[in-house]
Amino acid sequence: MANERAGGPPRLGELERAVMDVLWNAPDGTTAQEIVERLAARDGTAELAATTVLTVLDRLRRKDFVTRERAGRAHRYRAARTRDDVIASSMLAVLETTDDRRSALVRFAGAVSAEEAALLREALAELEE
Amino acid sequence: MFADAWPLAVLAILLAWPIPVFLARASWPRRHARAAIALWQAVGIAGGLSLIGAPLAVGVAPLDRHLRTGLFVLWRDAFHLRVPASLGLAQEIALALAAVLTVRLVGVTLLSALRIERDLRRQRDAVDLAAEHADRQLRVLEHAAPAAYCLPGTRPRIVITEGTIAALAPDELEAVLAHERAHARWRHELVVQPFVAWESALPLPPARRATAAVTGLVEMLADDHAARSAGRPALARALVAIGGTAGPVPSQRAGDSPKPGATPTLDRVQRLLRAAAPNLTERLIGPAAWFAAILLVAGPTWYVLR
Ligand SMILES: [Zn+2]
Repeated sequence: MANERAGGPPRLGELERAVMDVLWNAPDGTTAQEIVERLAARDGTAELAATTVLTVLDRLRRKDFVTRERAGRAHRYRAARTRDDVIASSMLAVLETTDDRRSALVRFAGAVSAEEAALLREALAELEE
Repeated sequence: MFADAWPLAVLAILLAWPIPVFLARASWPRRHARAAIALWQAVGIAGGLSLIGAPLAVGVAPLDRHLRTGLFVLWRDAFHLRVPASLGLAQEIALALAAVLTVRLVGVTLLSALRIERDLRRQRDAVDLAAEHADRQLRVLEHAAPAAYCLPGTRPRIVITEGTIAALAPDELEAVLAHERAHARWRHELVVQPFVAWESALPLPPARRATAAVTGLVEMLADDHAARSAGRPALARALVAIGGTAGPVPSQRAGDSPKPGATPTLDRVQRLLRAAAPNLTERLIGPAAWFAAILLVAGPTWYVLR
């Protein structure tokens, strides 16, 4: 896994991303042990402790990114939403706020009507004269 | 007989109506954004305090001519679980009004802060997990619609989409990033969020005007940073490229009269185009606004504590 602090152990945030990557590529869900193996195979590194991965999965479950169900003696973990869904709802929160200032997010520039877009281009032409 | 109540009531009325109207209509704030923000903050603080202070002064008027001493008597009696005998029904109503206003202002402000923090935490989790990390701060979302925004906080994230990168030339992208970095670096959310909270506590025209004005002013501050680091033309082109794309147009709220001929985006482009060299009057406006802001908070505070 890409390690931002060379030499040090991977940070929790990086582990969360790596685990989500595995889960997003396993639509049918997977077990913690499989995640350990896949991460080691992907990065060519030693296997992480299973407890570390379980901790990460717990955190992701608390953030509502991961669900789990019993499968025999272990749990099967699944991404709660696809990556595209997560991105789409982030964008929705930003783009479709009818009133920008209600939200904590203010985007760089709000969309404008066709008439205003024409005025904007006119103003720009003025600038470049 | 109302002693301290009159000046406070007059101040509350001035700050609730003519002053916000005047400030919202003035054009100088576009050129002195920082001073104008300070003045709006002073209007908000002095407005809130005088709104609570006026009924409080009516309530304690029979106890003492001064609000401060009257409050002290009220507090001392309340401590001994007594209601001062000289308080009539009118005074009790006034005191109850002051209490309700205080609880509402503080309560709604806290709730609003919590709600915003929760929304932001969700957004941060989502972009940290689902977006590409371009650097420690910058997240790139795989989405075709152009959008750029800042998730503010002690560890802010700046979020752009693949669509933004595709739509902009390198200097335009630099302008967008410089704009968002300015929001993050100068913690503009700390300026805007109290106004949003006060507006939910008192959803009245002056609060709405103040929020709209301050929101626009921090955009202008960020634009100034972006213009300095990437140049005015690049910033103007970026605004046109991102704002000029078809998308859901934020609907005007009923009862809100649109500013003459300007949505915020158009207004910002026009502001970039009309940067004239300041003359003497223009140069004095900034310090004058700062002075007015200090006077607005210090004056009533001195008056009540005298
Ligand atoms: Zn902005």
